[in-house]
Amino acid sequence: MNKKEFLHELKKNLKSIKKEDREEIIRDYEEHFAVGKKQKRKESEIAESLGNPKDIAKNVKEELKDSLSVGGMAKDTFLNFWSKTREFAANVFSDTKEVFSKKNKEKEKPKEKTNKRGFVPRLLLTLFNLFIGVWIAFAFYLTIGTLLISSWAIVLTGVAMIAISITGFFVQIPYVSPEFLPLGIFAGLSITSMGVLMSIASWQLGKLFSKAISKYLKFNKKARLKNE
Amino acid sequence: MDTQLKKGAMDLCVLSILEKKDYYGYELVQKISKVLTISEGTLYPILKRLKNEQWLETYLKESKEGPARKYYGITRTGKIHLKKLKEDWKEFIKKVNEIIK
Repeated sequence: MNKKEFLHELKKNLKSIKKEDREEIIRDYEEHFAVGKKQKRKESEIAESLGNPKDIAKNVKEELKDSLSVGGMAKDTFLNFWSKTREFAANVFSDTKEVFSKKNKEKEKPKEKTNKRGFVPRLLLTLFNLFIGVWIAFAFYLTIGTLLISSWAIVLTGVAMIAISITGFFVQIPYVSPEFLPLGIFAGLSITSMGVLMSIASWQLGKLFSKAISKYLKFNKKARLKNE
Repeated sequence: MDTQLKKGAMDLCVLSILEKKDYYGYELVQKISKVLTISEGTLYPILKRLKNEQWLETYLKESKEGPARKYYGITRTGKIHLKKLKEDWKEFIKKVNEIIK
């Protein structure tokens, strides 16, 4: 296997991950080949010692999944949004438990060094998360969910309007006269496109918020540790 | 070997090496894969994860021979994490030693 085949195989097996991640990984291996060649190694030899690109792709996906579970920056899509909200809630509840149980422990072992910040800042952060943060996240989730469902309902209404006015042109339907056709199609199309726009907008909003939660989780993780 | 354990050991090795000095990918891979007999390719996904966790940071540096290389360095949170990993590791080894002696 030469460099081209190796990278092709790797790229093929990484189709499912985010573009930036894929490109970064590919660049890493390209650099590896470049440096290896400078050291007078053969392409095939380098490829062989790197291992099977299929296995590497599997590893990459696994590692990226891991960093997602601690609020990493893997997929920030709306689909992921619910699991993120839940993860946020779970984190906060375990923090709460930790903060309150630590209080006694720290008294027992005052000498033991921890990397964690003091009790009070962690308590404040946890209380904020517990009483405000989590609920904001849930509220946002519900809002965006509702927006999405209503925008789909609007799309359906528009489509139904077009369908009914077309049917009314050919068949006798009560309350729908054949003259209704142009107006019905025009109104139906506008309503449909409005619904589509609205669903795109709420989807984007969901993605944005999903990203915000990711960032916030990361901030939380950092904030719980001392910097020095 | 337990994958979780292996993963922890790899993180420990990578972070320990980078605590002393920054390395570029190829160099780091050679250093680790020779000792631990793993295929060279397995390390890059790990580096990517450690970077995502913000324990590592990367930067490009020109090299005398050819294009710029990506260097890896440990971050402050990385150092904190490494300290904990080292403690856990020593604790673990101690327990295993007690059992096998």
